[in-house]
Amino acid sequence: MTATILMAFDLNSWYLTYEHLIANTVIYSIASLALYFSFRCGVFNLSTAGVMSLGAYGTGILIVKSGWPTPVALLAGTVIGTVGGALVALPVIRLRGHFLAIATLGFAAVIQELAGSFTGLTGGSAGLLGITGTVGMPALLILLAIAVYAAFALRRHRVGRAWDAIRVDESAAAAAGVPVMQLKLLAFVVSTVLAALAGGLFAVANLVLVPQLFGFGLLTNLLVYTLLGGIANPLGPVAGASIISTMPSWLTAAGAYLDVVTGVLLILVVTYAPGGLVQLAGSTTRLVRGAAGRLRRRAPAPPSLATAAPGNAAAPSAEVVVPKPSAPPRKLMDADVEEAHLKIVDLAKHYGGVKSVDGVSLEIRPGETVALIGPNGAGKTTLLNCVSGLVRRTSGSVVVNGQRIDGWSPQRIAAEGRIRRTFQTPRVLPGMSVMANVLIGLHAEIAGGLGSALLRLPAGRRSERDARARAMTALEVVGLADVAGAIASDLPYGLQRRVELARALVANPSILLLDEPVAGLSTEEADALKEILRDVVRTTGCSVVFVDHNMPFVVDMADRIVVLNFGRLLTSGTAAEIQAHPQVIEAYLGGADHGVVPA
Amino acid sequence: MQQVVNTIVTASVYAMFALGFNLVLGGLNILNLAQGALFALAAVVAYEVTHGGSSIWVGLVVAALAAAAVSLAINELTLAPLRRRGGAGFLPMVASLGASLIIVALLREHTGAQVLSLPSGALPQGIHKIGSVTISDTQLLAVGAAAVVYGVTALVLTRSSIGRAVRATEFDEDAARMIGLPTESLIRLMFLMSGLFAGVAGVVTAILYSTVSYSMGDEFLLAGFVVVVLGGFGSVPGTLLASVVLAAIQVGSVSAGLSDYSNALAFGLLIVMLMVRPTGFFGAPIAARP
Repeated sequence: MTATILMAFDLNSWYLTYEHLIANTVIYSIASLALYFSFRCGVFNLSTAGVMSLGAYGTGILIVKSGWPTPVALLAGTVIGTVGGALVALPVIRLRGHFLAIATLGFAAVIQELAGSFTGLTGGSAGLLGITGTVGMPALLILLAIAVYAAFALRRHRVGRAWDAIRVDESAAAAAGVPVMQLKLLAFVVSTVLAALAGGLFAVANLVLVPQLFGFGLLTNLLVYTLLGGIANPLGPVAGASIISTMPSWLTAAGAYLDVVTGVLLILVVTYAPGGLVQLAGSTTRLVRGAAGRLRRRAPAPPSLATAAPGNAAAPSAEVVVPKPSAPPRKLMDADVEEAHLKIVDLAKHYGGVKSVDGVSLEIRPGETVALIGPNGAGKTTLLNCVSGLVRRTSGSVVVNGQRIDGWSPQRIAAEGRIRRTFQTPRVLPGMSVMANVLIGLHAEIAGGLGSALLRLPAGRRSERDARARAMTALEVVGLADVAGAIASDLPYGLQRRVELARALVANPSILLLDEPVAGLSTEEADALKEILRDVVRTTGCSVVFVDHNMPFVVDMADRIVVLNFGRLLTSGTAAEIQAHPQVIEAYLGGADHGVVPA
Repeated sequence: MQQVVNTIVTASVYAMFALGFNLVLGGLNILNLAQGALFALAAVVAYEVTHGGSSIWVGLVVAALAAAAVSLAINELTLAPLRRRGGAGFLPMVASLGASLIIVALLREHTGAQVLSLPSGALPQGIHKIGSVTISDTQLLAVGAAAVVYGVTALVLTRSSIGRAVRATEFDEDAARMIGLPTESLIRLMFLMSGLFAGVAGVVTAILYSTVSYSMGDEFLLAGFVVVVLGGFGSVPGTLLASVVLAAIQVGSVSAGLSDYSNALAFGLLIVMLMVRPTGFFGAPIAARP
């Protein structure tokens, strides 16, 4: 009895002592989630500290100089920070890699400096004083809960799935119809709103602002929170912030050397646990069980900032039984495939002086299966890349059913143009399940955006359910229904090809582009794939353009064979015509500099 | 004319600082955020050496070597283990941020967070007047140091097999890796050079402005960003030209009474450049890079 009262008393005084610390921890958690949303989509946006600064000063100045009530100022400050962050984002969001990091880091540095210069408004390094008002702990916790909820809701949603796909393989995502730029921008905006909000809350919770608060130090700390916790789970950044931002109170021994501890932690995390603590906890159990599996040297995709896997699904054993090429369903989909007439006119792609594709004209009739063959460097893959939009053509046009698609983005060609493709080396999305890989192919057809994800609207959920059913059908067609839950990158090579094929098939493409579909497959695997492809063509009537060096496969599959050499069309005809063609024999056997003889 | 002199002097410091930064970025695709910390480290070492009674020349050499040694240590202790574990993309940059945090924290404790100055007796004091233009010995030292740094770099890059390897790596990273580049020894050389150059730039800055502080490198990081974006990743002549442009903006904005906004102006230029020509003055077109 006494003990209970004593404890309650202690708790109360403990809370009073640490209230400020807890409030700031909640705020840092929100700011870390801002980084989480960017990183999750593979956008290395480092403007968070700068946006926080804008949000904080916006809120603070409106309270101090304009006398606005706290909630209104907080809202306005969040808007100011968001707009400021967006102004920097818009010109640079298209840039990749270090360009984006540099631009956003530079932004943070400039904001800090301007805050120091506009002394009339900000008080400069003497500080912005006189901020009044409070934001209660319940309000802070509710805001954090909303942010965490949003992160979880989006992770289960097609938006979160597409963000993951963009992070691990942007061009494969685009080729599957994912609107990359739109989704990156969405991630950036969500991230910026959270950062600006965190800034505003920081102003009210701390009452004094100096520019130095928002420098490299803050950014570094936020990175430590986010990366230490890991981005595999939205609770990661919150856990990271809770552990590290409270360190001054429980690691008093570090004293002035806290930054050294933080720096060492940061280095250790990125080197030895790039998935962060959450993933580390998850993989410890896996490590024990999977010790035998590790001996088989099936290295998982390097988990990094760019590829940190959504680590909830356990890795399956490396050896998946190769499914028997069971008789696939006679009809792939209920929907009828739209007939497509593909016309390539005088298409060229030059890299500097190298004419990879040099004026090729080609017509593919609806339902036709055409093989592209030719020596290495003949321009076969480049031709497929031009048609699917991954490579900008130098000149010429690509027309589908009378409509020019050659200026379109890859995702538009995939989604609207109904052209899907596979790659020479299978580009499954590493770390994502087989089912998720296939669902990415349906991204453009699933309903529901941000609002639908947050409110869990029934229409969006129904659409997702339907998509899963369709994806399952596609997996049955390629014989992978049994491994739908496995991590795609853990599957053997031959099955990865089928995952990729299912991702392309699931959207009922009118035209299927396959880049060496049977390369690296055993004879049995190749035969199985041939049966699958034939069945698809027969049941859906889609056109197929494929590149391959495996001549028996080419001869069996193709209605017509097109031979390319040095970027030009050499000839086209049936297998018998091609085999007897003197120039083809010359191209394959004659030139000393490209003596690749097809099997 | 005086403005021209000031521009050249400022440009010399930027050029030295940004060169190592840009070699690592262009050659190894690592945005090395520890470069600013090495810069400050060298200044603090020079402070200690000169206050110990040695001449500024000894201080310059010792400090530059110290920065080079720490730069190598960063590579060996953080980046090399990361590489062996397959960490790529942004992870090396984040690791370098961690290294920077450690170094700056140690410098802060060592200096007591005070702004220090080199002993004036140890510094060259001469001032030359040519017409209306004044040039001090310290300014000549800055320009001379930059000339040496660029001379050495040009020699290394054009006259040795190392240089060919660096240029091969910059031209086509994948192909270079396929033939075994960049090798660990090449990577070490890059970090050695970038540490050395950051160190020289730090000491020269300490001499020019006679101040030393643990955080003096932070301000140069932004300058480094602007220079690599304007000059193009990995481009040596681009780094030089961009340094002059940046210095001209800074000197110009100071004389126009806009010194508070000189960095904002420089950043605006960075954003515009990223929009119009993200490859910089001399960079290879993006399409030609893998």
